[in-house]
Amino acid sequence: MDLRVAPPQSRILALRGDVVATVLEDGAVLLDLQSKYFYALNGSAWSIVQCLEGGSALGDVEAFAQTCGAPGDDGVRRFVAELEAHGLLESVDEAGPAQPLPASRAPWTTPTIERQAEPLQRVLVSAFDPSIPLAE
Amino acid sequence: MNDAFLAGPLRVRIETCEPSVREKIAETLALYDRPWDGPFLDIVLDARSVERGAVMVDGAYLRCARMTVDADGGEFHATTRCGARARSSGAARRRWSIEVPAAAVASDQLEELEDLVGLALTTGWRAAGWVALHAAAVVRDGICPIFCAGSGGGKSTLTAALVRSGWRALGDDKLLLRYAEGGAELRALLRTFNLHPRTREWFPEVGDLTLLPAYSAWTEKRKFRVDRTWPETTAPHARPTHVVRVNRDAGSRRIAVGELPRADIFPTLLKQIAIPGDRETAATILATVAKTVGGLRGLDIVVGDDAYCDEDCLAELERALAP
Repeated sequence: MDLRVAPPQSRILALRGDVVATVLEDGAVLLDLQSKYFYALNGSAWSIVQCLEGGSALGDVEAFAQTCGAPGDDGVRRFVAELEAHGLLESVDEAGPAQPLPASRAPWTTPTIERQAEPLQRVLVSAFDPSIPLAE
Repeated sequence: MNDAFLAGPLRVRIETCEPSVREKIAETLALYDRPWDGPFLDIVLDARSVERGAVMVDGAYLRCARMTVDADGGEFHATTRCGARARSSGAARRRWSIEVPAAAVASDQLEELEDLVGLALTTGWRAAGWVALHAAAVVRDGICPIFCAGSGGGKSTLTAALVRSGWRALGDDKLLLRYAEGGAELRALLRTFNLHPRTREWFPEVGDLTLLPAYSAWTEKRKFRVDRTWPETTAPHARPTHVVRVNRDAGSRRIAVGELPRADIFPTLLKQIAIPGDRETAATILATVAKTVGGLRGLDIVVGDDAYCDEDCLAELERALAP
């Protein structure tokens, strides 16, 4: 899988509906409820993902990132391509309603995403115990 | 026949005409014997036998070894391998209609009712603002480590060892967690540990554990009432201070302690929670864990299988936990 193939700039992409996000002190975590993988994002990556939550064109995401201090290189495009390669995005017909853009408090850094080595278990012992079921 | 049980912040009423079904549900609920002050959320388990068993649903919401669960329009539909079924209804899914195949009732093959009751409880606890956490925790002088490992990963024996060393246990594998204004809070649910019969080799006072009831079909562990052997060694609640990842090493005779990298604290705690495939529920769980770990330190320990032969085996861990 080539993570560096960027999507066309005008295509509208959105975070998949079954990908859940939560904020951590230095970024955020995404959990893909289908694959059960979760992903650690740094602060700049989280800013980009927030833009994509309701659906945005890549060009709009790049423009927003530049207002946060991103250099005008292809870093944002490469990061969005990486999100797509992980299956976290889907193409949608229309961009979501304009939302107040998240304020950037930290200096811009290269957006990063790190997938956890192991997904959460798909089959659990019980509704309380997420361990791998062993033979009875 | 009607009965009411308390299970943490829930008051559970059983409604059934089947004595064996009532007995199995009551046995499951009776485990949660740590008293709470309330307020309580009421749920009803209405069980009856039916001629034909249910076909198992896909499990889009939750897939367990003996149970699959779908959610449809805010209601749950759970099925088990033996054909038992549970459907939730009513406000906040507080009434569960459970159907058990007559053949399972007649042959007393009712173990899978534990899964359906567990689903009703975890759902009810979330409705009451708590997340079920499959981890151990102890507390002493304001220090409260959460021990994280899978089933059979050493949580119970380590908890027992710490209790013998003067710590008070919140539990060895079943806790409730929430994040409120004052910070993260852990609550105890029960006063039993699930100990392997081999525990006696290190802690002789537990006696012959093979004489006690089995914990589940999955392990050799036995239900052990903590305060009968170690009086006043349980605690009802605490504020967590550490996340401790517990690893086992068959070849070692000590407990080695290291730092758990900051980035590993969140996933370590998250892996102790059964996360359903429902966006809203998953988001609530993730947010609770994210807020909880913000103030916690992480430790990574490796416990040798025979570490407890050494009476000083806890010294390095207790030093690392000290403020």
